[in-house]
Amino acid sequence: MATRLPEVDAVTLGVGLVGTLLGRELTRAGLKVVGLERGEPRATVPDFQGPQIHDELRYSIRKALMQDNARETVTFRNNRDETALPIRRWGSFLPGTGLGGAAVHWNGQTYRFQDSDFRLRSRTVERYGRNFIGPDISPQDWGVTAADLEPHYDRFEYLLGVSGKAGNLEGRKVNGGNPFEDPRAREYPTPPMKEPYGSALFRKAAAGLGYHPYPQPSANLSRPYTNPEGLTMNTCMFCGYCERYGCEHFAKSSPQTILLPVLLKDPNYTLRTNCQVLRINLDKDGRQATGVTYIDAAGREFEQPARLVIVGMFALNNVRMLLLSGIGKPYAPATGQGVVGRNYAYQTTSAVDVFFDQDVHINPFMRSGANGTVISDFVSDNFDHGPHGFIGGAYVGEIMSHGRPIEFHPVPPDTPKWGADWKRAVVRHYNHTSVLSIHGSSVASPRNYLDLDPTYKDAWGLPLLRMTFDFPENDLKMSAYITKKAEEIGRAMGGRQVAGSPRKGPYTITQYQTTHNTGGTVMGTDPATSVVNRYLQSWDVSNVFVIGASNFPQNASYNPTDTVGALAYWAADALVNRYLKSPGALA
Amino acid sequence: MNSMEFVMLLALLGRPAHAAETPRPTLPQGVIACESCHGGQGQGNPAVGAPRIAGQPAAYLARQLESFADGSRHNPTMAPIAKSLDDKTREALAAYYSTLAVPYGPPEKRAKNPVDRGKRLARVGDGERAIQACGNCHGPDGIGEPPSYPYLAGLHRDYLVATLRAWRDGSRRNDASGQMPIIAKRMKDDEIEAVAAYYAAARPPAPGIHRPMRPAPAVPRGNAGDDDGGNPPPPSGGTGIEQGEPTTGGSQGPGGGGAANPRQNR
Repeated sequence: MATRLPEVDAVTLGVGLVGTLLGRELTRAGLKVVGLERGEPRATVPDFQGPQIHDELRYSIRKALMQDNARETVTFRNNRDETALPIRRWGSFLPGTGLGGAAVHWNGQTYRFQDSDFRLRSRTVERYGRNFIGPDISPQDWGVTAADLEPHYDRFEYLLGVSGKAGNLEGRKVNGGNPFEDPRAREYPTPPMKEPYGSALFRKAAAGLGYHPYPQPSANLSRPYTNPEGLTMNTCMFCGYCERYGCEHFAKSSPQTILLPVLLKDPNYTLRTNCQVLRINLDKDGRQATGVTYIDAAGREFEQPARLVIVGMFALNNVRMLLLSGIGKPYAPATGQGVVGRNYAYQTTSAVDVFFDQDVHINPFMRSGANGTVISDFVSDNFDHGPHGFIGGAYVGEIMSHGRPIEFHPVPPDTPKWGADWKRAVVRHYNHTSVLSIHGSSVASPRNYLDLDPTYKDAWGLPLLRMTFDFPENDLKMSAYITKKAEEIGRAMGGRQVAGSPRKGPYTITQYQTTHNTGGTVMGTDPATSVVNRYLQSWDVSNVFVIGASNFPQNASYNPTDTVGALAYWAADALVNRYLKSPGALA
Repeated sequence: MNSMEFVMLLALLGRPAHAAETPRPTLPQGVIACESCHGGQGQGNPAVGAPRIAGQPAAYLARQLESFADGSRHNPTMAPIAKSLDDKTREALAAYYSTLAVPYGPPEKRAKNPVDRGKRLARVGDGERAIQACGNCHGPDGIGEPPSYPYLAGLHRDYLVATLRAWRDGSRRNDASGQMPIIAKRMKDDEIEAVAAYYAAARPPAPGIHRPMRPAPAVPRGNAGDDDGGNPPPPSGGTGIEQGEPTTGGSQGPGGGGAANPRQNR
C-alpha cells in the first residue's frame, strides 16, 4: 500500500541534465519541485576524485557509472521476425544512472543541429523531390527551426561554458569556425580547446582537399569560466578520462559543475535519490496526471501527487515510462498507427584508422573527450545528395578522446588478433595512429521502434523496453560514401596505411558505437505522427512534458546533447511564460 | 668537459678551489651557486625558504627558472639569478637536479589534527567549495606526475605555505591551466597550513619500491537526498552495476570504434 505524500507543484522523473535544468527553471518561477532520481547521489568531491576515478577496468570495462541491468535493462532484436533478448551487459550504448545522469559520463561534444536537420522532410522534398525519400525511411520535420532554438542553444552553451569558435555571427561568416552553422547571436563563451597534433594533421589535410575544418565545440573547458549561475569551472587537464568517467577537475560541464550546487540550496527544491518511479498516475478520464508512484531504496511504495510531471529520464526510459503509464497510443508497426515508440533512431558511426611512420608521434593519451578538428562539409544537406541516393550525412574529424591502455590498441587490419605478433603491433602502432570518426545521421524507419517486451520484466515486475532496430539501407549508403571521403583525408594526412570501415549491417548490440539513442516520443505539429507538441507537452495529457533526445523525429549528424539542452530551455520557457499562467494545451 | 660536468660546476660554484681541477668555465654575470641555498645535493634549506629540488622533474624545474626570469613567478632572490641564465643553462641545471636523489630529513613534528585535515584536502578535496584533491595532478600521496607536476611529498612546510599563498595572491601564476590560483583562492589560511603539514610529513616511496595506489578513504557520498522517503544511506563502493566483460574493443571518439572497428566487418 503506497504512502500518500503531500502534493507538490511539480515532479521531475530523473535528475540528470533535463531534471536539473527544469528543476532550476520551475523553482525559480516559485514552484515547489521534487526531483526523483533512481540512482545514487554523486558529487565531484568525493565521488569523482583521483586516483580511483581513473580505474579503467572499473569504469570503462565494468561500466560502474551505468544503469544496473541486473535490475532494469532493454531487450533487443534486429527485426520483428526475431525474439528479443535482454541486454545483460551494455555494449552498443551505455545508459547512465545516478544524480547528474549520463551528463556525468559524457564526452562533452556540444554541437548545434542545423536548420536543415529540423526541416529534414520538407527540405529534402524541396531540393530533391518527393520521390527521393524511399519507403524504408520516415523522415519528418520537428516543428521548430534553428532560429526558434537559437536563444535556447545560446543560454545552454553559456551555462556550460562551451569552448569553441563561431563560424556565423548574426549572419556574418567568421573565419576559423563552422561555415555551415546557422547564425548565432554571439561567440562561444570560451575559446576553442588546444589542437592536438593529430588534429592539426587532419586540419591541414582537410583544408588542402578544399574542406572547411574547425575546432570541435567542447564542454571540457579551455580555460576557467564562471557561468550565469555563479559556478566556476576549471580548465581541462587533457587526462583522457572523460567518457565513462566523472571529471575530477571541475572541468567538464555536468549538472554537478554547472547547476546542481545552486539548485540543491533552493528551499523550493527537494531531491530524492534511490527512488524508482513505477508509473505516472492519471485521473479517471486519463486526461490529467495526478502524480507518480515510486519505490524507495528500502522497498517502500510512495505516491507523490503533483500538478505537473516532467519526464526527463533519458530517451529510452522516457518512452518506457509513457508506455507503462498508458500515455499516448503505442506504435504498431503492422498498421503504422500509433506514436509512442515510433521513429526510434540511433547514430551511424564508422571510423578510419590512419597508421603513421614511427617518427609521427600522436600521443593519444594527451586528449580530452572533446578536442580536435572536424569538417561539416558532409553534414546534413551541406552537399548535393542528388547523385548519391541517400539523405542525411556525417561530420568527419580527428577527435580522438583518449589513449587509455586497456581500450586503445590500434593495429592494422591484417594483424593477428592475439599473441606475440599482436603485441608487437600494438607497441609499434600505439603512439603512431590517428583515428578519424565519421559521425553520421540516423534516419527513422517504419521498421525501427520501441515497445514493451511481452516476456521479460524488471526487478519491480514491470515489462522491459523492447528495441527493434537495424540500419536502414539509406544510412549504410551514407556511411559508405562518407567513410571513403574520410579515407582520402587520412591518406592526405600522410598515413602509411589507411584502414576505413564503413558501417555495415546488421546492427550489433555488443559493440560500442554511441549512446545517442533518439526518438520514441517524437515532437511535432501533428498528433498522428508525434507524441508531444512543439513545446514537448503530451498531446494526450497536458500536464505531462516529456523532454530529451526521445523528442528527435530522427537523429542528425551531430552529437545530441546541445539540442537536448536547448529543447529543455525551450520547453521551460513555454512552461514558465505560458503554461503556468494558463494551464492547458499549448498547441 | 661535457655539459653535465659544466652544470655540476655551476651548481657547486663557491666550493673551495680544489674541487675543480679542470678550468673553470666562464659564467654569466650575477650567477651564484644554487647550492648555497638549495644545498649540496638539492636537499633544500627551510631556514632560507629554499625548497628541496633534488629529483623534481627536469621540465618542471626548467619552467620555474623561466618563470622566475619572466616574472610569472615572483621571487626577488631567484629573479636575477634566472635572468642571468640562458635557456640552455637553465635546461642543463634542471636536468642535473632532476637526477639527484638525496635522503629526506626526519619529518617535521606536527600535531595530528592539522595533518588529518590536510590529508583529507590533499586526497579527497572539499566539495562545498569545489576544491579538488591535490593528488589528481600531484599524484597519490604527492609523489608527483612528471614531467609537468612536481612532487609535494617531503617538501618543507614553510615552502609549501609560501607557495600556496603566492598562488593565492597572484605572485605566482605560471601554471598552464590556471588551476592553482583558483584552488588556492578557495583555501583558508588554516587549510593551507594543514595541507602543507600533511605533505611535509609525507615521504615518497624509496626508489624502485612499488607502492600500490589506494582508493581515496571512505567518506560520506555526495549530495544526499532528503529523507521524506525515508532513504537509508546509500551503499558505498561497488554497486550491482559493475559487470565483467572481455577486455576487447572499446571506445574511441564518439563511437568511432577505435581498435575494434576496422576489423569488425572482415
